[in-house]
Amino acid sequence: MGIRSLLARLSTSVEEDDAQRLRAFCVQRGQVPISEIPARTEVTAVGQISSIRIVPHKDSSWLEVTMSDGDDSLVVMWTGRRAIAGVAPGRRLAVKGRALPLAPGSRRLKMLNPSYELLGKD
Amino acid sequence: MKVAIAGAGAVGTFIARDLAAAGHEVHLLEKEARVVDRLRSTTVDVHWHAIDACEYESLDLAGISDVDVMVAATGDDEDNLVISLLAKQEFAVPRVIARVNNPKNHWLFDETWGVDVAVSTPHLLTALVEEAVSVGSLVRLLSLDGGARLVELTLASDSPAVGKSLAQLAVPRDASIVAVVRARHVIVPHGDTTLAAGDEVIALVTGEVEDQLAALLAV
Repeated sequence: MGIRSLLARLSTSVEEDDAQRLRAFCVQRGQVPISEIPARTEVTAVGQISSIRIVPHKDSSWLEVTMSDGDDSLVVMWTGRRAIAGVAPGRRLAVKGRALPLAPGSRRLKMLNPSYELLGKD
Repeated sequence: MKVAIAGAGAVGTFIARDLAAAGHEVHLLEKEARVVDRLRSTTVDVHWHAIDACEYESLDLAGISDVDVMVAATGDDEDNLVISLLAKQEFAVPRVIARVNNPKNHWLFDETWGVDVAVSTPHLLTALVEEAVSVGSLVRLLSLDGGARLVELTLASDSPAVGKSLAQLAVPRDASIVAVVRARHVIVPHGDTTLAAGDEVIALVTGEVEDQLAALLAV
């Protein structure tokens, strides 16, 4: 590592550094960046879970996971689940499915019950 | 708009013709090849698919991945639920409309099964019939998410509310009169709006106060 890149690394904030590593990880997995996911086409997206919500729905509940690839975020919903083993904030995840707008007209996307793979840190 | 309709029964075929006549691209999916052959010649401006809409592969072949609306209009509630779930979950169809055949199944038709709008003919019919025949009794027009209901009551001439202003009426909490229709004109209600016989009073209520409101407006 050259002095210049070392200095560059030392001068970035922790958050920025994390985001850069995450971006590098997602690019390395060779998948579509979240910001470029086309609606309604089957894709695999990679990201890190930033938050988890349990959304009550009549007599069941949905698990709502927000995952980020350092640039953009994707909402993933699993219906009728309160928890999925291994799915926790900070974990990296690959999800495969078709995305649709979060709300009609929204640019943000969500996936419903995609197939998923838990990924290791690096 | 590109619309797919599952089930070429009387309902499905009618919707398909109507939408095609309005200039939409309509795809009709029907499992029975005989039905498709019989109807194809009379319904020409519709794209026919002799497939089982409850199968992922068939839906994929029929090009569901880019339809704007999916209508599950078969005569079988289980099929309609499966079609709705596949359309929403596997093909991310923006708007999924499902027909409810047996009103007992109505509660199942919600987002959990991918249904955006559930249409129950018996419910619609009873509401319309009630509305047509009843003066002086409360008719439920629409149930909203969260337990609120839109109700309507046409005031009979001997109603205790006739001649009273809304302020005098003292409408219970959790009930709100949202409009009064008089001689085909919509009156936005205020406290000093005075009710007259023949007025159609439209109100938003939650379950418990429905009876109280009916007691104020009817004999």
